[in-house]
Amino acid sequence: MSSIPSLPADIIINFIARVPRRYYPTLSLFSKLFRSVIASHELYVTRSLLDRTAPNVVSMLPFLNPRTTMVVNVCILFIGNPTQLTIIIAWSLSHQSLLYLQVASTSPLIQRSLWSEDLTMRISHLLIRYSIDSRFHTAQRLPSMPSEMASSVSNIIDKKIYIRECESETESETWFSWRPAMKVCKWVCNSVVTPDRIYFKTSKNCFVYDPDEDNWEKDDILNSKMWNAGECVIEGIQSCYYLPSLEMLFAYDTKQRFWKGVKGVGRLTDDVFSSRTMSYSGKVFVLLQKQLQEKNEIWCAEIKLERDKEGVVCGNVEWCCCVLEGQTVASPKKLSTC
Amino acid sequence: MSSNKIVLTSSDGESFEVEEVVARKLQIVGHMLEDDCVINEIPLQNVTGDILSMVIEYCKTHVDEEESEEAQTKLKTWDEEFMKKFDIKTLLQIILAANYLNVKGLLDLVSQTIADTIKDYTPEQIREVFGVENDYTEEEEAEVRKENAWAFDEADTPKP
Repeated sequence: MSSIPSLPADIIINFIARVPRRYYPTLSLFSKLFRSVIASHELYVTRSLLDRTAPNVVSMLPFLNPRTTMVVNVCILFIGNPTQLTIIIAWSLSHQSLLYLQVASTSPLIQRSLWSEDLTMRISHLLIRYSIDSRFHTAQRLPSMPSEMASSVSNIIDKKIYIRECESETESETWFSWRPAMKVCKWVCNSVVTPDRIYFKTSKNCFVYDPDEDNWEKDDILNSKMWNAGECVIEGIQSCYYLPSLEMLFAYDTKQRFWKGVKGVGRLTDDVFSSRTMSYSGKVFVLLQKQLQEKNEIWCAEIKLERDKEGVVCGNVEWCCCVLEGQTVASPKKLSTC
Repeated sequence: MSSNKIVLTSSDGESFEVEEVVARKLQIVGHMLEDDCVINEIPLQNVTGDILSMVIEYCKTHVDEEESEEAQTKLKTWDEEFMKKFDIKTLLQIILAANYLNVKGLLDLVSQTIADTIKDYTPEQIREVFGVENDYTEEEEAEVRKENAWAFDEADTPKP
């Protein structure tokens, strides 16, 4: 009878690559050989060769919430080919809520190491910044990060990095200066960078900053909808959001300054309780939280936006499927990938 | 041409007469035939007769892979049923054979089946199946557990 040491490494890689990654910690206990396979670069190359177009990696990571100093288990979904990792989304499983963590590889906070699944990644998340080693599912606070930096929002315009810094406090709001020349309210919960502007959403208002003119402007129409940060989706379209009650995807036109329904995008799935939208690389990702009686499901849709000949924004749903499912108190065993 | 018969002989001397199109599904045979087209008996030293017969059964079923959805579904069902016949030790022998004989479809199929099977095993169960000893010292094992502490804690909590 055959035993594992006689199996060539490439055969072992071949089947380990097909095991969902959340099982790797247990598998690495089996033997030193398995552990070295799980840590090997070849495994991740094989995984990416086996890649299907749908989301492919769900891994669990512990995150420390700096406010409560409690560790929450966060589920992270990588969308896209792992060798060209584009977006990470996280859910707090204990609270069954979307923490909504977003990483795009163009972000200045993200190092080039994002290109490969098996390399250490750096992500910024709310007030904390972690270095994640996705091979071992470990997350560590970056030790050299000054605390002010860790709470910064930064963006790039014209090759300059803008970092939020605390300046002064008034009664109601704390103001921050942007290096080199920006001012923005502390309560920025979202920001989007387009080639010539930065859009900020605070708890009450939306602002548009023109770095060339050093000019701030309030944008009430943009503020009329709950949008989420991402990046400029396609030219002239700053951000999108999906309204489950109307089953429509809306896009904000920065030139004409209005929200408009995206042609070709309708019902994505049933029983949607809430949704989040983000965009990356001309595509919109819509996360849909479904609440059924006994279980929770999170669905994700990838929608490609384009303008037709008349300039109307059209969306093509490339895929939409359940990426996570769990009971009200989810355990990793209950999770499933596509 | 396709009615040409080829005899495949296993390491334990068992012979199988198959059509050339079936034999060509074993890429190792395909390459031999290209090098010298007059071969009609091929010895396969690394495969025993019982395993080779399974591989041939797979190749016969997959000999003409039709594009149509119906045919694909039918094949998929057959694959699933075929895999159910084997325990994991046999699967490991088939995967070795598929690798040696270079039958990509079978290699993928068995890899997936093994992956689905072992993922829910405990390390102890896997060791038993694969017939190897635990090569970690207690300290080393504790270290690996520590590295992945969160995962084991989660796994140990009772299911809701």
